[in-house]
Amino acid sequence: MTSQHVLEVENLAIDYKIGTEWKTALRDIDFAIDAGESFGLVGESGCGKTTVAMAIMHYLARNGKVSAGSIRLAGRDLVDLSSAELRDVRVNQISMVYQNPATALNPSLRVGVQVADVFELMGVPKAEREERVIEILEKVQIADPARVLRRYPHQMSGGMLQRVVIAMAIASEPSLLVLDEPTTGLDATVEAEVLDLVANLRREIGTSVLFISHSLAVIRKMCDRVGVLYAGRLMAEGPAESIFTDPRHPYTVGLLRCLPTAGLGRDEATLDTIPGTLPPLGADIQGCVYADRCAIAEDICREVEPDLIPLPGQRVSRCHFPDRAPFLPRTVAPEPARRNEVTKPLVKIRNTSKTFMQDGQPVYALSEIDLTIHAGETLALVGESGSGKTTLAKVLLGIHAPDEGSVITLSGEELAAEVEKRDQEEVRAVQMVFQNPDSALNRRHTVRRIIGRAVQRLRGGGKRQADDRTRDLLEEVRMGTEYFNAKPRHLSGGLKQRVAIARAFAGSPALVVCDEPTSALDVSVQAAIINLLSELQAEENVAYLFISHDLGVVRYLADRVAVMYLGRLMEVGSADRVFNGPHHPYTEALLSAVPSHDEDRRIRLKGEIPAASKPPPGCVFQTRCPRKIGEICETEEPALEEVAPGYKIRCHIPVAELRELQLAAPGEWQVGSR
Amino acid sequence: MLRYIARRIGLAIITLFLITIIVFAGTQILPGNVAQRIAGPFATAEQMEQLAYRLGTDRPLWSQYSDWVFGWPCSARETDQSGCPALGRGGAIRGDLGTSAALSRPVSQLLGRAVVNSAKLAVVAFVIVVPLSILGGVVAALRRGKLTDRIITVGGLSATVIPEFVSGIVLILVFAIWLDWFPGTATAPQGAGFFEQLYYLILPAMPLVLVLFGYIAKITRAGVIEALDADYTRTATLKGLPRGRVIRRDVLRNALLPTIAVVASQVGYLIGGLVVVEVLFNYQGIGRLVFDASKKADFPVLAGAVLVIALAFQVSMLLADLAYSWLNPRIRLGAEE
Amino acid sequence: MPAVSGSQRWKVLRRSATFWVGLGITTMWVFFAIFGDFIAPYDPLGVPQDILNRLAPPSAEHWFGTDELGRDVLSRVMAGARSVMTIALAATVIGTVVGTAVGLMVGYFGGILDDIVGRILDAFLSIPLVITGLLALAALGPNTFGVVIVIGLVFTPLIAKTVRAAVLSERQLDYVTAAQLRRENSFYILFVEILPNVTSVIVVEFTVRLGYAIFTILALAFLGFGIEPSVPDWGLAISQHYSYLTGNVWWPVLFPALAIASLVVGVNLLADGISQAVE
Repeated sequence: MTSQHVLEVENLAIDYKIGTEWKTALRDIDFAIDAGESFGLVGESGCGKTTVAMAIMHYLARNGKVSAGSIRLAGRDLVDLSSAELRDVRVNQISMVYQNPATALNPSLRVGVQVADVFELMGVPKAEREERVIEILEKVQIADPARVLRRYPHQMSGGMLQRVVIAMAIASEPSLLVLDEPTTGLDATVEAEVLDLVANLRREIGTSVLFISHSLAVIRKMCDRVGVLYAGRLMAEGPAESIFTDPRHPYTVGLLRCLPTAGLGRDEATLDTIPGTLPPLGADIQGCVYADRCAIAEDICREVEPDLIPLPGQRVSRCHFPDRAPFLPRTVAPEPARRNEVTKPLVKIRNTSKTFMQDGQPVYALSEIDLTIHAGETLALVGESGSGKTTLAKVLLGIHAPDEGSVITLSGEELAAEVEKRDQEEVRAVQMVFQNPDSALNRRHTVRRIIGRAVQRLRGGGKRQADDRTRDLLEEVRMGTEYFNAKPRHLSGGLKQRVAIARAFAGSPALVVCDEPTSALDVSVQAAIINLLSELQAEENVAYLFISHDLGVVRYLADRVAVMYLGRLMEVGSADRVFNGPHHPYTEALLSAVPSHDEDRRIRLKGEIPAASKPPPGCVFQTRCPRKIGEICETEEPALEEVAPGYKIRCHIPVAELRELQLAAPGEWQVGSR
Repeated sequence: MLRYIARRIGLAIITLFLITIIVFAGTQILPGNVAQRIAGPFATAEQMEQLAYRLGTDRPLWSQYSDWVFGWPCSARETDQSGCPALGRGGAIRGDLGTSAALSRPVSQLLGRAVVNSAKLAVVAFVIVVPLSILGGVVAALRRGKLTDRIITVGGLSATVIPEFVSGIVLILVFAIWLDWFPGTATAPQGAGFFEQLYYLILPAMPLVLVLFGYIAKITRAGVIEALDADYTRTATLKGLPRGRVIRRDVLRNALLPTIAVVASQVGYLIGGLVVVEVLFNYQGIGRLVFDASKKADFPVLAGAVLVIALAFQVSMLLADLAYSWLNPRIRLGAEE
Repeated sequence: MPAVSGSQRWKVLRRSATFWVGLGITTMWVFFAIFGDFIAPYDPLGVPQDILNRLAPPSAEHWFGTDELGRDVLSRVMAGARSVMTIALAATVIGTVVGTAVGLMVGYFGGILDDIVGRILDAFLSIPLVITGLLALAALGPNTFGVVIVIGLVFTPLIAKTVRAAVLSERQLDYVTAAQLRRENSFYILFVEILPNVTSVIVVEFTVRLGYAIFTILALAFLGFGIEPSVPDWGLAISQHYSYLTGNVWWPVLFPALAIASLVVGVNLLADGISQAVE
């Protein structure tokens, strides 16, 4: 390797001590990052991405060790540095930005002090430090840095904190910047801003970047070259463009096929999935680690582990048959599920508000929601966190009682505010699938009991009928009855979510609320769950209220979309209408925040969603609206007006004018996933 | 912040009133009423009745309680000395805790002297144990999983669970009788100076030190380990800060704050331990007073002592909470920008 | 949060030295508590073996010497395990059962009930256990049953507090919401859904409290409360003989003291091992 590489990782292997045994977490990791280059590492959870980053930073967990290989920074091996040399490298050459900004800063020190440390370590004299801190905070686009540096971390939002962490990381203009999932957990709008900032800073100071993420879309947007990790091995490596458009490894091919592609709806094609699960840490696998899940694997794959085979175009693939990868057969037949005929209204939410009291202060979580869900349709609810999506679902389900005057009807009958007061039929008709199956399933109960109890409660009948129905349900969620007596801990994340779905379907519901049902799952599992949901919908004619922040998934699944902001509906209409525009400026901003490399039409929201206890006067969105027209926005709240059949929007700007504004910057919305 | 302090003080006052009810209930409702215990098993019905009248235990419970705590309604009838309740009638909230049944002296006077003595012993124990156990916890956390850690953790746990009278006996046997380094009593001769008093208090303080050491060290260790594993410690380290500074400023600063509350909560255990230690080392403190009073069923003294102990505990918890919230910017400043 | 499986717990437990040492010591004393009377070399309750042989130092005949009434100290140490262990066990069981019930209710229903119980709990916590015991026993007179009730009663809020905290975090989980969505009643949710998920907390709490119960019972016995004077008991033995220490008569005091130390350390090592495995 030549010396123009900033970072060279060669033959790296890392072991963890689990109990008394050392288990291999990473093996044969080889990659290099050139000066000014942005290198991405992508992979599902548990594949070893963060371990690579921590090995480079020399900060492995206490039970981890580098068992082979080298990590060289500008030609100097980092593995065997003395602690003084290591500190010098950390001060001047490598910096890192972490996944969770809320915990990354010391809670009992002012932010300014923590940033000033970096300058102190760089040898900046005390008198100049404050000036330098303000300068660097300005560079990461923090408004009013002189005030911000006197704050404590708990007084700042996640997005602001991440800017501070980035400021500390770039202060020394390091030769390598490691970013480990820097936007995971942030809202899409904030994520977009942070990604922009990182891209701009990189251009400005020319540092090399190692960008780690589970999100293919983010990696694709941010990186020049990409490495794909699977079960602690590097499976493919090469220029981002060719890895994503012309993948030559079956795993990469499979991953990309799991994503809903731009503009594709579920009536056009099912998503493909990857069968099986990731092998456990340190599993002793002969041959290719991916062979068990690979549709083109042959005997040689199970016997001989392939090397990283060089391919044309400066790329490598750890596969015996890289040329066959693009022709990987589909796991799932492409025939889409039938879309239901949607006619009659099922649930009507009218004039529904919810006010919580918090320390004697009212918090307006929902404000006069009017929304209809039709039998058999998928209505998606989108918006940033804090917009009231989950509260609306919980009010509908009878977990929170809405304010006086709110009316919710099911098939024309008014629903009681609390679930305990609803009758058997009403309870059966409305059920829920939760975000996190670990939390949603009682870990002490068996699958049989979890589903069987729901059958008995919702459908009636004795134990025997419940068992029979449970077996049927397990078949329906494509699980098979071998899991009948399993407990949740014996199941993978995807299987757990299937059990939760089976439970929701125990009483043949008319409406299932799905609260981010795929966001805790890996990409390959997510696709299977989405397919299952759309198949079940066709079979059972069930309606979904689908809450999600993932607009790719929403685009794929939804018939209609409702956009919420600060407890209000901003826009409701068919998915086509809402996605294709003209959109509400807030919807426009949400769509614009989806990572893509089409940067022509960028709208970025300033700041963060205001507190629901103090909604801004006039239009609640006016404080952040990129298309604010003037005083009227600040004084008068626009009504949610039906401007076309089945399409409602809450904005002072007439739709025709919105169309003009939004057409001014042309380009098709590229809605990829996450 | 002010609201928080007001709320915290309010809660402490409510708790103290609840304690008066519990104590009152303990002396009145439990079987074998006070008059019976004082009069002995062979008293005639007439004697019993007279005693009950003299003690005031024939009056309604609410009025006995109210007399004891508030000094009302009984003390309103200043001229009538009879018919006042067993626990006292001056009103505990005014500092009048009644008269000792066994010693015929005001309870507050007895308590005053005992509290001073106990406080001396408690301070000696605290001054030794707090720095020692925090240091132990920090060292154990920094040497996590190593032999030092195991010795401090298991040794501390064992020391914590052995009753004070057991360790006290062994200490007396070894250091007072076999080695003769320390006196076997805590009471210094009349007119002893500061250092001589201190010398007499060191051996009695040790059982208390042993009991408190393990617990404080354990909590400190857990706090330090949490801070060592925290993301902000990683950030500080990867900035390139020297380890010593990371430990001082990032680890200890965040880990030791909660320890304040833990130390304060140990005041309760300390006072419980005083009873045994003061009996063993023959020391006239509040523990000894409680012991003697319970032997003689001297309820005014017992009830008064329990109130004082509870007050001491509540005050120390309150001070700890206030210190904690003042030192912690998250509470001091709230979330507003 | 990945659930820790039973087999993983057992693995941690099996490799824990503290657990095994604790289990060994505790088992030994349980054995003596049951069979101590039968295997003791002399009758522990016995009328003075030999009144002339009182306070005899340890010898081949009496390994631990004799006490002020000439009784064999070794026999009384062996038999002494019974009183403290039965009282501690009974008291801890009462405290755990009642405390668990209260903790479940308070944690689940919250609101005013939580505030009220929280205050009562704080009140109890501000009085040291030994002092509550003294206060109650002063009113009750020496009474073994009273000790059981008092310690059980005082443990109730302590255990309730721990269980409450566990319930509060369980209540946040979606499986509880799922149960509400099928209109399960509170009784079902509490005892069938939540209780199985907090049992490990209760087990840990039980073992820790057992240690405290032994501690407190012995301290009360030492102070002369709660145990009838003729019963062989370690705390009582120490209180009856510690005045002889000045005459260097250490054996009737030191051996019961070591017995106490080994029992409480054993029980607590056991508790520590279990709580580490559960975490």
